[in-house]
Amino acid sequence: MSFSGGQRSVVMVDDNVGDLFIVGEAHRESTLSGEWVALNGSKDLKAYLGEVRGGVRDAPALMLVDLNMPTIDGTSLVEDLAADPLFSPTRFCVLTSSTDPRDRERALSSGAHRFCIKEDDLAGYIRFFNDFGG
Amino acid sequence: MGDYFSKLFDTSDFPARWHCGDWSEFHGFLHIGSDLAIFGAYMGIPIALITFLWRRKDLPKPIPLIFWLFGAFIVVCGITHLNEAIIFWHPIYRAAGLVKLATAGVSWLTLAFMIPALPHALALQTPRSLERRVEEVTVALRRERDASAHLAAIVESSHDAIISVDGDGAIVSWNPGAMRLFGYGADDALGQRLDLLMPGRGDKLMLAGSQGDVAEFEEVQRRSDGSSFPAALTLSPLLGESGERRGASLIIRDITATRNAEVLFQRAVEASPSGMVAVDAEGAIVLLNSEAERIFGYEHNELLGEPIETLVPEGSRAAHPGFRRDFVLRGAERRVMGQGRELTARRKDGRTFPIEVGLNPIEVGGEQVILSAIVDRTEMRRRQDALEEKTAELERSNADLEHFAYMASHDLQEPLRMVVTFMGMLEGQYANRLDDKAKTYIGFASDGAKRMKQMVDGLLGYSRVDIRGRTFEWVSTRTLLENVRASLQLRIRELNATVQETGDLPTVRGDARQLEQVFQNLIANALKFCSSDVPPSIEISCEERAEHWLFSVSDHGVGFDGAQSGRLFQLFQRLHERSEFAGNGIGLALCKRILVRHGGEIWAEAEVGVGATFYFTLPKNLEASE
Repeated sequence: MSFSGGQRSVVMVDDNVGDLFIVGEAHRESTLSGEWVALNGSKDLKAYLGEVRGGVRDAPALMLVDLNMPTIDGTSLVEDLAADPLFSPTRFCVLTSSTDPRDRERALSSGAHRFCIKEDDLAGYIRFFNDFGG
Repeated sequence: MGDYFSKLFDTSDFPARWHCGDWSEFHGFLHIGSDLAIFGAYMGIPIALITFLWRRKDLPKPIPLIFWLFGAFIVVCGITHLNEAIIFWHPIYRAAGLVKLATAGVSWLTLAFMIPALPHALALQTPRSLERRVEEVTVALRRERDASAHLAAIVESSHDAIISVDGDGAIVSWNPGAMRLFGYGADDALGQRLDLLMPGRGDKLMLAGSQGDVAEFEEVQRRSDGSSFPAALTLSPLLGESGERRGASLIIRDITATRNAEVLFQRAVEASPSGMVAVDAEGAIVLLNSEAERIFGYEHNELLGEPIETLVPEGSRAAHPGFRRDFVLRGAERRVMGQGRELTARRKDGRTFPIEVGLNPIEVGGEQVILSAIVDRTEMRRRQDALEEKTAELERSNADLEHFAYMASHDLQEPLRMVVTFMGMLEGQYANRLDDKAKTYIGFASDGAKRMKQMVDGLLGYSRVDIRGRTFEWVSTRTLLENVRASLQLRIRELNATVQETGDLPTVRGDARQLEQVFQNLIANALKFCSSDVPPSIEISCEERAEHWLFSVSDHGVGFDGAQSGRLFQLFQRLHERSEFAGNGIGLALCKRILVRHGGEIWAEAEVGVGATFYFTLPKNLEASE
């Protein structure tokens, strides 16, 4: 996959600011390049998607989506974006605390490329990004 | 004497009456005229009497003789009066004396005959009584005529064929019913032999009928067009007045409808998914369908005539006839047998099995027959047992889960408290030795730990709904609302909110603390999710429905997407972001659990930016759920 010279960003959609913080830290320390964009809740998400659709931003290289958020259904979001040609360069990864195999199945059938369980420490996330970057 | 007769008309010895005494002309002619008039009339009367006798030759004896004598008496009386008139001029006293003698003789003779005839004469009926008699006879005759016309009409209009034959076997009469039934015209059969209707059999039948007694039997008959029908026949000999045999009558009834009804009944009994067994007053099986034979494991018709006790297990067999008698004596009514008891029956191979029996008493020809519908409950019982086992298992596992949740959340409190406490100590005691990053980390950690503590607390409360629920009592929902208003007083004042009930609030049965929790959570939510521009206005109301009370708590706050309302009552589910509205997603799940425990329901209707209404129900009759 081409990242068009490291220009494309890495986006995370989550309602937990703690998770957004630690995953952002891990991204910075990993080998995966690209701008880090943390979207906390539906207001942030709406604004970001507006920018991509308006041509202000490129579609991201990687999009990490939480499953259970109060105002956003992670599975439907992945499904919508994966079907959108504008997001054809984007890889989607569902990142969740859920260990329920049914959630994994639902996520993968919605168009997500990976289903990852949230890590307990920073090192785990760094490894996760390095895997992507490699 | 001889002198007397020779001088019979000699008048020389006597003067004429005119010259005997001093007769005035008037006086003399009064006698003469009257005597002549009497003579004339007395000559006429016998003529009238003879004419009467001539016309009425039917008069009983001795009436005519007396009439004759009376006529003769009148004639001689008349001649006596004629003589009285003649004597005025010709004194024929000798002849007149003879005539008087004759008159005396005829008079006595008449009297002699009249005396014995008097009773007969008295017995003679008066015209009036005769008229009455005639009338009576006429009425009787008319009645007889009407009766026979009636009988004829019955025969004419009967749907049955009514046919009579004479002693030689020729058809004498047949009614329109016979024409219709056999499809012949009015004159086709008269004078014919009965073989016409019943080829090769009719004549013999009629011969037997005219010789024998009344016989009733059923056989198939054939119409003139060749089609056939089942019929009931009554053959009776016809007897004359003196008891002599004069032929026979035959009544033929088309019993197609009865036969069809019988077939229908048999098919219906046969088609029943239950085993059907009919038992007569003596307890003998008179009818059963193949399902009954299958259930009890018998061959076709093997059970017919057997006592019903054959199907009763040995243990209860002796008592069964008594039960049967009681059922009939107590005025048998349609009912389910052995209600509340476990009934068993016995198969041919001796095995017993559970059954359900419905009893239907039917009267057939004045005799009580009991039709029972029998269902083999073996499979049903197996399923019931399995269901009960499953339910018990579920209840056990539910209780285990509740206990687990309770223990887990309870035991989780302790390590969690350690995290919160020591994070707090780090924050407080080491604040000046930590850089900003460290402080951010600690902030996330203690925020997470606090949230978890809230969730664990919520979970604990959630699991306590059933485990620690109190017994139900009568609770005034108005009082509950007052309590909630008091506990939320500060917040209400802060927001300048109104919490208003419309109409009456009822007294219900329930756990007061839990129901207060429901009101508390719903009103607190309404206060929390208010829109920032207008002071919150919350309305609480209650409507009485047939089975339950319907409560509602409505606000004009931010609302939510109505389509998501199902998620609202799930544990830890939220429809708003934490940055907008704090909370842990426990409150409404707890409300739901409390209402489920009370036999009620909860749901919500809302629109973003307009407001939300939460509805919940509480049964009016809580006995079932207590």
